[in-house]
Amino acid sequence: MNAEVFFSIVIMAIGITIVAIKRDLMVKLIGVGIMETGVTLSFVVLGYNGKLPPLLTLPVERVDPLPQALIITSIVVGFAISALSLVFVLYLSSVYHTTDAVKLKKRIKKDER
Amino acid sequence: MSADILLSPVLLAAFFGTIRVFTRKRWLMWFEIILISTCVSYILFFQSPATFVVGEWSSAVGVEVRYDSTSFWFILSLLTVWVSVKARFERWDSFMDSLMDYLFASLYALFISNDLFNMYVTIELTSLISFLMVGYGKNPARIWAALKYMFLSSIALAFYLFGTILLYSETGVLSIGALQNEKLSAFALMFVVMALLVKSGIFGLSAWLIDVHSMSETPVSMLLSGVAVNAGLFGMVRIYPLLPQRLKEFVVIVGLFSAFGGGIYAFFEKKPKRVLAFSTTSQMGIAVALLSLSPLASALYAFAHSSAKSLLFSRNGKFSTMIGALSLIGIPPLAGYFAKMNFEEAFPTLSLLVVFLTSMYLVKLFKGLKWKFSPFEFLLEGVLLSSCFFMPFGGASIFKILIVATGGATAGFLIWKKAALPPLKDVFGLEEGIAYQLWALVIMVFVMIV
Repeated sequence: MNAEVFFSIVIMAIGITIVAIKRDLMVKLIGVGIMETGVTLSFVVLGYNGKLPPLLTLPVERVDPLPQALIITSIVVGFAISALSLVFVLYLSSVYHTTDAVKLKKRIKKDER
Repeated sequence: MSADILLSPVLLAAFFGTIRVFTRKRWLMWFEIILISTCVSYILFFQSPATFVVGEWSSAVGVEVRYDSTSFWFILSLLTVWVSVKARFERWDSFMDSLMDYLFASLYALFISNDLFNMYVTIELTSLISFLMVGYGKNPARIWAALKYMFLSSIALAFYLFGTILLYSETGVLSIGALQNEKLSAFALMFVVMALLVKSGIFGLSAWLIDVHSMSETPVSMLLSGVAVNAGLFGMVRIYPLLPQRLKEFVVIVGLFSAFGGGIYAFFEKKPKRVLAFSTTSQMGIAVALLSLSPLASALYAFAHSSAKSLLFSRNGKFSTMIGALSLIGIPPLAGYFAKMNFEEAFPTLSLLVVFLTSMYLVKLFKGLKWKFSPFEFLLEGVLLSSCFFMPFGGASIFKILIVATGGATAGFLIWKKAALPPLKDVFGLEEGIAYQLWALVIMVFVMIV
């Protein structure tokens, strides 16, 4: 395993740790974003082989364009999901005036009864 | 078979889903149901298995599409559940109606895909539509459930992507047909398997499932518990032949653990919808464990489970609940029996224990229901019944299953009559959801590497 892939795994681990430890929903969302950035980094790093960019057609040896095309798709999907979850957090905070996960859980359970 | 016919249901469903946002004409919806079901039934019953690349690219660059016998069962279950939900709740909500169409389109596209990245996109689309369907209606409890689902799902799918790029950097291909000839590293496959296990509703890993399926409205939980959990399972079905022997054993053990853990938690639960949600984790565990026999057995089990579970989740009268419960336990001549026969072949003793457990917790569902018949559920019941015409019956196991099921039902009834047991505590952090689950996931990853 090369150093760049190891580095992207470390970034993913940082993201997961933030999601698991922090109580604030906004911070948790930022953690998910950091984790997705780690995945993006691994795509870019593994697609790059020290050659010329794929747009130039003259040289025979080029960087593989497929991983970059794939990661664009997944960045867009990730953006859609994070926007939707921000809307959900916004609604919950407008009802309960807090973004703390533990408090929210308690109050939602209380309301159900 | 041409690519146009196979891909046409995706386009049709997406087109009608967009149209439904603007108009609320009833004839349009019936026209859509008839058109799509005709088209899909034509594909299911008149087309032979085929593999091809969309747009006639070479398979190294293009997206590979594959229709085979496992896809047949998944698409059949999707069609029956979707048509019955859509026909029964026709006057419900036009926005939700178009979401149902999009869900159909993305699930159909998943069930014919044979490409790692295409599977990622369709699974992500399916989950995005599920979030919207669960959170729609501004109920805080539902939004909270959807949010928990979102966190776990996006982390799982990031894992999936990471595994995908590792596999691509080793082999240079993404289509599963081409990957079968290559030697793959267990490290990369493990990430993909972890993500698919989280998505397929395995007990302990899928903390989101119980809240999402039990909180949401009836048609939504019918669709989610009936067909949307099949998304992760379908990924497992496609990935499983690629795995090394050790990972295969690991997957089967996780499935069996889920079958028993989900059943035990379901028995101690009080609300009927929560019982059904735990039951989903238990049944999906069986379907994952059945992969050790053959992918087709797992697909058949998923088919039997989805029709029965959507019947049970509709909670509409004793008759439909009884048919669903009998099929879930595995009483002949319903479809569940033929699916359970494979399970009995693979794990003779464990399967009888699971039948006992299933009948124990399903007894509780009949409390407070009336005898009622609904015309749109006859489709699901008919599908469950009709499989007895083209499946072989096994001999002696019928009596074993009947005796064990009767014993289990009596035991469950008596225990609940005598003692009011409280629900079990969340040892696995099922309620807390995010924190415990992720730690379990990370620890499992480390164990697998070592």
